[in-house]
Amino acid sequence: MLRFILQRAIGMVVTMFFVSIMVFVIMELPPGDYADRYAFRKFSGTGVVVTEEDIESIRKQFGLDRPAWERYLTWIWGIVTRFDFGPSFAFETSVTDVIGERVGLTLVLLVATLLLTYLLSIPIGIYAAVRRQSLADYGLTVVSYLGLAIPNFMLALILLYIGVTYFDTTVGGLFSPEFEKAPWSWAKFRDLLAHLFVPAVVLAWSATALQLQTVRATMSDELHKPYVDAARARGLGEAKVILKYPARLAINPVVSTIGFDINRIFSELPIVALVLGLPELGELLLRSFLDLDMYVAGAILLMLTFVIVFMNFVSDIVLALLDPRIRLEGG
Amino acid sequence: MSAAAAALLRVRDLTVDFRTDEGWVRAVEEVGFDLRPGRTLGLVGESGSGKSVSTRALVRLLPASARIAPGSSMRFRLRSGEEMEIAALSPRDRRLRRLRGGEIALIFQEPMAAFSPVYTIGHQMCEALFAHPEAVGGRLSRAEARERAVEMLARVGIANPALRFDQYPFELSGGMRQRAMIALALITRPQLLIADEPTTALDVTLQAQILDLMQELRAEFGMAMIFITHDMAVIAQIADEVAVMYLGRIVESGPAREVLRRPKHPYTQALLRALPRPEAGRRRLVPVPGDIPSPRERPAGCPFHPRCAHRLPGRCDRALPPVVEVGDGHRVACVLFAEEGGR
Amino acid sequence: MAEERGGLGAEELRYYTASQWQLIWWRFRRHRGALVGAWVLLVLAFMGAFAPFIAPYSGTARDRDYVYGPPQIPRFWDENGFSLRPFVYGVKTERDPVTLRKIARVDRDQRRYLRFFVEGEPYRLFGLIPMRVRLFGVEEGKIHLFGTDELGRDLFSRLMFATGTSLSIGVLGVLIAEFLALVIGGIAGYFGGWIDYGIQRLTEVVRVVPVIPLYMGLAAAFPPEWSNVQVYFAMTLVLGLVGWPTLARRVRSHLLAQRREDYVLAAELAGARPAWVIRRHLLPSFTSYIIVDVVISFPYMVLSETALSFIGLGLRPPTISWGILLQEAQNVRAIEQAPWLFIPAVFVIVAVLAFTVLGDGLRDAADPYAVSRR
Repeated sequence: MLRFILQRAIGMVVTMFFVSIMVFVIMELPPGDYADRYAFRKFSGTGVVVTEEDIESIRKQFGLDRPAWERYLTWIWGIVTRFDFGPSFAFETSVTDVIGERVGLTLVLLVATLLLTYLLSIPIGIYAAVRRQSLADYGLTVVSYLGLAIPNFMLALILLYIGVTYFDTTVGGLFSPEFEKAPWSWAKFRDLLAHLFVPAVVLAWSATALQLQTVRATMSDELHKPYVDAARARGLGEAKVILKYPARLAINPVVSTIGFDINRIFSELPIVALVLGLPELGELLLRSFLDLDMYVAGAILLMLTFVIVFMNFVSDIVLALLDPRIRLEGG
Repeated sequence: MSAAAAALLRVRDLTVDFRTDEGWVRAVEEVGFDLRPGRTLGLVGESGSGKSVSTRALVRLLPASARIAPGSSMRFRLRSGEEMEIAALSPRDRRLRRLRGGEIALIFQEPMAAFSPVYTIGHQMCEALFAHPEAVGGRLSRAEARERAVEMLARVGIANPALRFDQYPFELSGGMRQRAMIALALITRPQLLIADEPTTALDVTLQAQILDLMQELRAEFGMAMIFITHDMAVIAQIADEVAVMYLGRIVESGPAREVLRRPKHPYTQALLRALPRPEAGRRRLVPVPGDIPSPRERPAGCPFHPRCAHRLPGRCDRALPPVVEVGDGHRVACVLFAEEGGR
Repeated sequence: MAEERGGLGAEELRYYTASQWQLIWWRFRRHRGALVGAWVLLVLAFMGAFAPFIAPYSGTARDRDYVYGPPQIPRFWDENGFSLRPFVYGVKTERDPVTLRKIARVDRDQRRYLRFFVEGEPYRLFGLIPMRVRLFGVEEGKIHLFGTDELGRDLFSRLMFATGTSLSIGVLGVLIAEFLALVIGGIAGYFGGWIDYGIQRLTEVVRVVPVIPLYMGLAAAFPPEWSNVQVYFAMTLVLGLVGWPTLARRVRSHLLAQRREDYVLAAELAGARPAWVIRRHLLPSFTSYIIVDVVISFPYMVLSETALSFIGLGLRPPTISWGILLQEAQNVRAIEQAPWLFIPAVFVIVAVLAFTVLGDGLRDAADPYAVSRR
């Protein structure tokens, strides 16, 4: 088991290494470099004439005159050793400062979304598989089609519309205005929880639709395996048979796809954040891409991907714990 | 008829239908037999003949699309001496849970598939013990249950049973899995063991070992057994009585020796001709001609007549042949014998 | 009954001798949802292809008399009487005395009759054929079936053009992705070993990064001076570049699975040469698989384009796509005042649903074991 964990951990590091290279390439992609944009931002409209030399000196100051691989190494070294993701010009401070609180909020939102997804999809998926052609089963089919067809941002718009026209409230934001800038307190936390619901529903929407289908499909497969009848033949009650035997295995694909779910949620984060006005990483990512504030964008991209890779690692281990076949044979 | 009075199980007119897209299909029709304690009944037939379905009906483990037709009767004498009509139980009846595992235990064809892969052998065995306090003499502690399970594993010939107790099904060899399966079925000392082709998935040497083991255990525990197989040779080795099924109906039944020596029904004869025999020398094996038809296109009259070499046109394809007693307890459903025995 | 079982009826004979594609077609025809999906998509594709003909106006023409105007639904009668020819009311724009905003006022006394095949602004069909005839229009003034946006542009016309753009971008994106997937997945499956391992790692890296942020990163790199055509093709390239790893993975695993099938081994044992095995056994099972794959991945492409353009990182105005149209429905105020700006969302939802049911139908039809599994 220890070897298994170590193996997966190494795999995680290797993947992150390649991801960091890709992120760096994306950061380098936009035309012009950081010095150009820095000079443009700082001096445009001020009447100061910026010469080629000025830009050159900025370039030197940030070490942009050195070759790409050297810059990559400096960048990654700063992240790994000092948690320093480089400078952000849009906010004229370090990336770490800009990102700061948003990391926590994003994670809270992620956890809320995942909880909602699994609390809905696992029991309903199991129920629909056991009661084939019941109302839950048909409802599930409809929802799983709609889950794909109505993208999350559109659902957000619809909820926004309903909120505005029928309840005369905006459903956006993560905090009420009075708590926006307030320091953390119990009241502020409660306010956050109340605001979490709509974004969590929106983000959980398509993930739930997909997981419902997965759970039902696996459960239907497992339900007809001989070991279920064997458990019944032992004299166990029906509820116990279902929950202890096929349901136990129907959870495995959910665990193994947790990385995909997070990928999906993060993927939709920027757009949903834009519509609902959420102060988290996705919204900042979108803004920094639009502003070409590439160090911020790179940092966020790297963090989001790290969460996914890390959760893949966790799900591998949980899966091994859940399924002795993997633990004892695959390790 | 005096023997029937002491019967552990009396099955009469058992009929099972399945709902399909094309309407109801009859899988088992008017099956009847008696089983006395300590005896082994062999159920023989090709796949699709309804032998598994009829035994599954005994513990009411049929798919949701199946229906036991009204008029079917399965009377079982419980350990307490009380008689129970299994066909009359509702699927949610709690007494059904006592019956399953406690009174009647099952052994499945594929031991690998019949064990859940995510629990240990021991866990699944203890589960049966905990589910049937009435059969194992009260509620057991974990340690007691473990002790009994290990004992049982040792009894079925598993070496190092304490280690196997904590292992998962996929860690055992095929033969060992089937032994563990037998141990699991017998741990509650059931009155009746239903073995559904328990040796089909094993290779020949293992088959013989498992058959010997089952014989031994049956004698030791004094239980009755229904042994399902498509192999006449296995019947010869293990069964006291035999019932040959074809398309959901019993076509011939009686004491195993008698039926094997003097098979009456053309189908039984055909099955026996398909069997290699040492005394027959270099005789060619004769397969049963044709395929078993699907239950949804059951032929009119005698179900076997389209494949029968002795069919009488105008009779066999008209009406079901009557059941005729041709010897002591030896019954056959064929018009060829209708004249001799009468009805 | 018994006599018939020996021989085969004409129907059965037809079934047993049918080619693979005939079988797929028969199974597909039985799938009613998939047929509906196919028809819906045909209609949408037709709308997109003949957009300039169907749309009464160009996508950028403004109607200053009808800003933020609600949909005008053609009617046959009102309190002034019945008319065989459908009509809409005339409109006047006035300033609201309080807010000073322009408001379109309906003049119920003025009827504008609907006419078909009217002369309109000149355009080129498929960018080639110069034409003036439009499918419909009104005699005087203008008609806005789906209303107008804040600049007074006709939403119906814009939606027709957007349908063409969004569908075509999805098709190109999917084709690029599938091409890359076939080449790269094929190489991985064919060579195996280190090359396979390297490609596997690469696809894993691309797949692990959240998709839309990755799209965003690539789209952010489009230089601002690029023309709309350049951005359009760059978008298809981006969709293809990000989309291929998932497809390549499926191509590779399908290839490996097929190679291990007994019938391939049987053919090889029978002395068939590799080229024969590939052509007669692997490709046929593969072609249907690829078609299904393309149809199934298509909605993701459309949705990605919509999402990207929606947040301003994809196509740019004056190009019109579903995402660009939805951009206008992004803020609460717009939704409150002009809910008809949501109509493009209905098109997106219908298109994606149609593709999904079509994909499901095709998959079931192409899978020879689908019947027994259901």
